[in-house]
Parts: sequence; C-alpha cells; structure tokens
Amino acid sequence: MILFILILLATAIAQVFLPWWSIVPVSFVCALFFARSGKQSFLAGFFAVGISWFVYSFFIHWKTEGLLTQKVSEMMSLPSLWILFVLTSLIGGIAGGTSAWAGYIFKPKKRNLQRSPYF
Amino acid sequence: MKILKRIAALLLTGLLVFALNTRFGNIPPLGKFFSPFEGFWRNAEQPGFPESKALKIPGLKEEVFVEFDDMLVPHIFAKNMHDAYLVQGYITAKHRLWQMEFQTHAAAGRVSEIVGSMAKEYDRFQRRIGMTYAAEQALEEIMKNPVTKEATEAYASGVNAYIAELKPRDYPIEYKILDYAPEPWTPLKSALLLKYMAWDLSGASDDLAMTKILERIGAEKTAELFPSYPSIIDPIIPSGVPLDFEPVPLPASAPELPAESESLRASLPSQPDKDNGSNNWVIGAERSATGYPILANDPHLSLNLPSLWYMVQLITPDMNVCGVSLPGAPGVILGFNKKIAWGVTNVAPDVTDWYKIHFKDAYRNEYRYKNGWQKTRKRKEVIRIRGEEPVVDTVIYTVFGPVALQAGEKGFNTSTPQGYAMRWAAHDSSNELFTFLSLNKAQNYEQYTEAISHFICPAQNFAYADNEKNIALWVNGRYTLKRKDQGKFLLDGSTDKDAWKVYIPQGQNPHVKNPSRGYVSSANQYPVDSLYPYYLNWEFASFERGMRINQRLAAMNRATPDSMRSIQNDNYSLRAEYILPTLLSQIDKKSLSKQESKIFQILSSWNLYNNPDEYGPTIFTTWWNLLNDLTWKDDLGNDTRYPAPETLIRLLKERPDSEWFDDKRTKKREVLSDIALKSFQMSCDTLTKRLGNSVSVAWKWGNFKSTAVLHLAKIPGFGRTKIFSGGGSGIVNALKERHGPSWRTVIAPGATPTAFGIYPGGQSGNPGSPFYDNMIDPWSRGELKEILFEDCPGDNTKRVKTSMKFSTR
Repeated sequence: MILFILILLATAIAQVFLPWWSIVPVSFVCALFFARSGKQSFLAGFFAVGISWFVYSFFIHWKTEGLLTQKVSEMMSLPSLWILFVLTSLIGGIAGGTSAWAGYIFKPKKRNLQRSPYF
Repeated sequence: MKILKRIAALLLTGLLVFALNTRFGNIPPLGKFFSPFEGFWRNAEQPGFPESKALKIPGLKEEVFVEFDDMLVPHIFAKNMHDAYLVQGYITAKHRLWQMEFQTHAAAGRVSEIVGSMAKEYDRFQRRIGMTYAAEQALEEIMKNPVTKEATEAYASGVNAYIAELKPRDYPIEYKILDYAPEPWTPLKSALLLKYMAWDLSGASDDLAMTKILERIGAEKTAELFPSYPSIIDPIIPSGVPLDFEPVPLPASAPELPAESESLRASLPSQPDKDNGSNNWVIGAERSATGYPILANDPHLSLNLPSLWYMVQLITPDMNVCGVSLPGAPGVILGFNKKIAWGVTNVAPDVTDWYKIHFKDAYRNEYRYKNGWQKTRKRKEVIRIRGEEPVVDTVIYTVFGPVALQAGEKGFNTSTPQGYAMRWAAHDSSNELFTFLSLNKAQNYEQYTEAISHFICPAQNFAYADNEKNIALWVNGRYTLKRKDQGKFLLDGSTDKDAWKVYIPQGQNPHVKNPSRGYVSSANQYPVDSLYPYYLNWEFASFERGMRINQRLAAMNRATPDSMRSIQNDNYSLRAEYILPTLLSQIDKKSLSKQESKIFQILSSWNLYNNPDEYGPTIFTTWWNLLNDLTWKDDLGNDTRYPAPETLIRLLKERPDSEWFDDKRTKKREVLSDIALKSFQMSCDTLTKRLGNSVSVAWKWGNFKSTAVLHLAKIPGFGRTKIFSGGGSGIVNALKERHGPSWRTVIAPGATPTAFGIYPGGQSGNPGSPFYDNMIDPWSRGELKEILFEDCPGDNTKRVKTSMKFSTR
C-alpha cells in the first residue's frame, strides 16, 4: 500500500513539471526502495499511475463537459467514449507497473526494506 | 543471472517508453497523447470565459489592452500600430496557431515534413508552381514598404512571443496527434498565406482542357460552345455607364494559333474549386432605411475548421478597424472603420497562361526563344520528408515562369499541361497587404482608390460604402493588355508574340461610383458590357447569382441590414426558372413509370426555391447534371470540361433539335426530348436507388446535399457533417456540400457604424473549445450576429466577457 501511495503522489507531482515519461524513473526509484515482490510492485505501479490518470482525465472530462472527449473518441472511431478512459488508464498503468517492476528487479537483495522505519 | 535479468528489465522498460513516446503510422505516441498531464486531455477547455489576466511579453512599446466579447472576438486597444499588430499576432496564435502554420506549410509544399511521403507529390507540385518563389517576390515588396514591414515584423514577434510561452503540453491538439512542434513565425509566412489565397482564387486554368476541345471539335464549334462573351449577361458595371478614361491602343489581333500539343494527357482535372466566388453589393442611401448606404459581402470558399477567418477589432489613436482577418496576416482583410466599409469578391481575369517550351537538350539549360537560345534558371527545392531521405527537385524557370511539369511527367494537378511554362500574375512583385492595411485606415473614396491601386493578384471586386453616402465598386487587379482570346488556349513559348508585355492602366480597370440605379453589386460574373475596350477573360461565373441579386436590389426600397441578410440567404433558382418549364414540357408523360410520374409531379409543383425542406432541388440538380453529361460527354470527352450553363440553357430554349443533343454513340439522331426523357429517367432511377422509393425525408434538399464543414487536415470527428441547409451552386446562397459562404457580413455605415457577421466556425481553433464551432448552427439557419464595435475600453460591459493586459517584458 505504501508503494502504491508513494508512486501515486510522486508521479503526479513529477508529471506536473516533467514530461509524462517521468513516471518511469519515479516509479522505478520508489519500487527500488519499497517493493516487496515483483507482482506487488507491478500492481502498485499499475494501479497508482492507472488510477491517477483515470481520475485526472475523468476530472477534465467532467469539468469541460466532455466536449473534446467526444471528438477524440470519434477520431479513433471508438464505439463508446468510455473506452478512452480505459485506454488512458491502461497506458498509464502499464508504464507505471512495468517501471515499478523493473525497480524491484534492481532492488538489492540483502536489505529488507519491509522493516523500514517508513513503513 | 541477476545481471541478465536486470538488463532485460531495463530493456523492456526502455522499449515500452520508446514505443509509447513514438508515432507509428497514423497512431500518435500513445503515452504522450493519452497522458492527462500532457496529452490531448490538456486541450479540453471549460465552458465560459477565462479569467482576465495581465501578462508581460517582449517587444511592446507601450501597454496594450484586449477585451474579448461574448463571441470571443478580441478588441485590441494599442497606443501605436506596432503594438496593435504585435498583439494581433499573439492573440491570433493563441487561438489559431496550428492552422496558421499548417496553411503556410501547405502553401510552401512542406506537408511531407509533417505527414511523411504521402504528401510528396502535393509538395512537389507546390514547389513546381513556384509558391515560395512567389512569396519571396512579395516579401521583397513588403519589406520595401515601411508600413507592411513594420506590420509583418511586429505580427511575427507577437506570434513568436506566444510560441515561446508554450511547453509541449500546451501545443494545439493537432501537433499532439501528428507529433510535431511549431517553428518560429516569419514575415515570409504571411506572404505565403497571401499566395495560398492567390492560388485558391486565381490558380485555376482551363487552357489545357480548352486546347483538347479545340483539337476535338475545331475552332468554329469551340467558339459556339465556349463563346468569349456570354449569351446571358447582367454585368457588374451596369451597361451604359460611360467610360471616364481614354483607352490605350490595343495589341494587334493575331489569329489564334495554339501551340502543338502532342503530349496532352487525358485525365480528370483537380484544381481550385470553380465556384470559389463570392457576392457583394452596396445599396445606396436613397434606397436604404438607415439614410446611409448598406454593404453586404459573402466570400464563397472551401468550408473548413478551424475557419479561414478570424474576427478582430484593432484600435489605435489613428485607426479603428473591425472585421475579419486571415490568421497569419496582420490587419483586417474585410471590414469597416468609422468612415468606410469594404468587401470583396473574386474577379476571374485570365491571369494564368501556359507557354510550350522547346528545350535544346535533355539538360534543359537552354530553350528556343525569339530566334535564339535562352538560358534557363534552375531553382533547387529540397522536400524534407518525415522518416525518409529528403527529395531534391530542380524547378526550371523561363522568362515566362516555372515549368510545372516536364514533358511526359505525371503531375499532382492534372489540369496542368506537360512541358509548358506557367505565367501567373501572382509571381510578379506586388504588395497586396499594403492595400488591406491602407483600407483599414482609409477615410474616404480617394483613400480607398489609392489603397486598391496597389492590388495586383488575385484580382477582386472591391465594393465600397462610406458615411458620406458614396457607393462604388472597382473590378480591380492588374490585367495584361491582351488581344481577344489571348491565353484561352495553350500558347507558344518560342516567341514573345503572346508574352505579357503591357498592362491595362490601373485607373482604367472597370469601375463605377454612385450609379443612377442606386446600387452596385458583384457575383464574379462577367464584369463589363461589350463597350469596355479591353479583353479580361473569355469566361466568368455564370449569370444566375449576379442577376438574382440585382433583381432583388432593384425591387428594394427602405432597405435594412435584415433585408440584406435576406438576399444573402436567397435560395431562388434562376436556372430552374429559365429552363424547368421547357424541360418538363419535353417529357412524354405516357412513357413514365408510376414512380417516375410521382417524381415528375413533385418537380412540377416545386416553387423553384432551393430551400432545405424542398424535394424539387434534389431532383432538378440531379437532372441538370445528367442532362449535361448526356449532352456533352460524347462530344467533348470526360477529360475536358463542359460549356458554361448559359450555353446549355440557350440550346434548350432555342434549339431543341441541335446536333449537340445527338448522342454520337447511338445510331438514332436524338433531339432534346429524347435526352431530356432519358436523363430524367436516369435521375429518378439514381435517386430512388440511393434515397428509397418514398419521396420523403432523405429526398429533402437539406439532407441530400448534406453540407459538411471538415477539419483542415480532415481529422475525423473534428468537423461537422450533415448540416441541414439550403442554397447550392448558381444560387445567391451559394452553399454547396463542402463549399459556400465562408463569411457573411452586413455593414451599415452611419454616425457610428452598425455591423453584423457570422462564419461557419468559431474564434477558437481548438476542437476542445466551446468556441470551436459555435457559429455553425446559427450560420446554417442564415442568422447574423451583431459585431461589437468599440471606441474605448469599457464601452460595452454587457458583451465584454474577459480581458488581457499586455506590458513589455
């Protein structure tokens, strides 16, 4: 859970200032310190970025009354504009999850960060 | 082992990021594009107006204040001209950056840089017709003139100040879809934009088609079908207006000897739309309810989003002008100030001619000219192509102009003859921008005529009204002094016999001021009667729109802006009035099937208005088109063109047994009644198959015509389709499927001017803005919006919704 929250917050802050792919190094570094397993780190990264992308895009959609969402979903000939949110969440999620997993792979074996004072 | 795993993990992550950050084919970079922090989501705008703000930009001399009204029209208050144009550039870029850049890339033949090799042939063609060369010629003149130099440079600084503020996440959505970035704006781009318009309005040429026709049917029949003076005419300059000048001597009339044309290729032409035209008129003070003249204007062009036009008001201590601008050019193009109003329609003089070039050898360094060999000039064009090696193309320039296509070379534009040099008025040095910037400030008739005297190409009918109650119209441009029919066909480039040598003195261009009939008007038709001493072209737009406008104006007293609006939306079909009774009388009703009889009945009871709810226009238009096919295709082929509507109208009414009605492919000798019946039955068949048996909703003209305003780069979902509207080709309300009134305005000068306007789009070029297409619906209903014309900031607190204050950084 800590990894999930950490990636969610850290990537959101990073993306305000940096390009979208800043989620990759940020998730990677977070996982480097706080990952427990490959699966856990992937899921934490996937849901952290996926949910933040979903929530933010939905917020924009709601605030702008879906004007552009409708047009972009027509541009892509999507059967429903909700698929746009699915795609957005999936793309963000896969990027976040993969980088968090990679962070876990790089995690030094010896130290047990589960007992970190930050936990 | 661990190392390998780590490398694999890094590689996988790296590849993923790369893949999500790269464009594949038509698919935008997915990560970049879908990110709500950076991608398309960022382009969504909230309903309503942004908060007022103050900001600092480089280059301003003094503070500038901008008010935005409820249509998002900027009213720019500056203390000097430089600052006004600079902020105009900034604000226009803020709303239209992608469009501004894309249009100038399109003009310059640089689309391949954005979309890859699919635009290669288009780009090559733009280079071959010398678009950048033409823009460079214009830029030289623009820079020589202190007014246009200051304006274009300040405008460029403004655009660049805006671009400099942008991070990739702020780019217009089209940059994100196509994955590229804006480049700095330059005055050359303003020149390119004006040449883009010039090509659209004066680039079309039928010389190749006419030469093919001449070869097929001979000189006599060509003259019969394609006369050099129309058979039905209501000229722009009313008949009987005496000449106020002494004509210069005419060139010697030589018999037409078209150049040999062994390499004429058979193919369908693709070139600027023939219906690129417009309406404008001014009704005089004595016929108007306001006590002052009223001017109306609606330019007919391809309808796109973002719209071609952008409304703006520019206020400085010595200028207050309002109207529409072209995004990419400083100043107001069509509009009004406190004293005067002006509007334009296109003139179609023959300003594009083609000369056969005989090269000495395959090196094309020399060509035969006046009993000797003349050297060519070669211009290297590098076409950069996204994802591929650049293509280098050498364009050969002769004394006439560039050779667009070499003999045997396939071209993007198939109405272009091969092995011919192009002589085009838009290649000549000129400064059309100076005309517009001068009109913006003009206070009276003399200043208006001074301003338009600088206008060379594309020639325009400049309608004029002022609050001293003058009305006028100049058919203005620079016209070569030609012998009759010079350049109707392809010409010989080995002599200077048919070269352009002298021009008609500008002051002798057709014009009329305060005519006794009390109104002036133009609808691209033949500008003069046979008393005008000079030849301008053999063909102009057909008579219908001009004649109908004149009928309406002549019957009008106590006109108001709303009566002008009603003319702009006039859907009456003069063509149908001329020929429908004749056509219907040709049909032998006994030979019709039940369905055909029903359709015949509906057409017979049609009120002749192309209103969207009518079925008649659907049937009549289809019938007219098929009647043309059946009459002309067997004689002229399908790689040329058909005669003007007047020719067929005259034949229908006067010579029903004309040989042209005979289908040469059959043994029978057909007359009008045969092909009228055949084309009527074909129409019924086609329409029934397409729209169903029951003549109902789908048959309505508004649904059948189904107007669409598409995105400039044809991005699906970003345009508006199925717009239910009336009008059509040859109708005053010239609204066709993809083409029509790109701006409608009515301006009533007076103590203070009152003006109305609307265009099929919106002020914002952003598909995610509520102001992207907000004017389309009222436009399609024929409504106009009152234009806010302010004197000082804070004049209208009700309509002004937000503001921006600029100071220098």
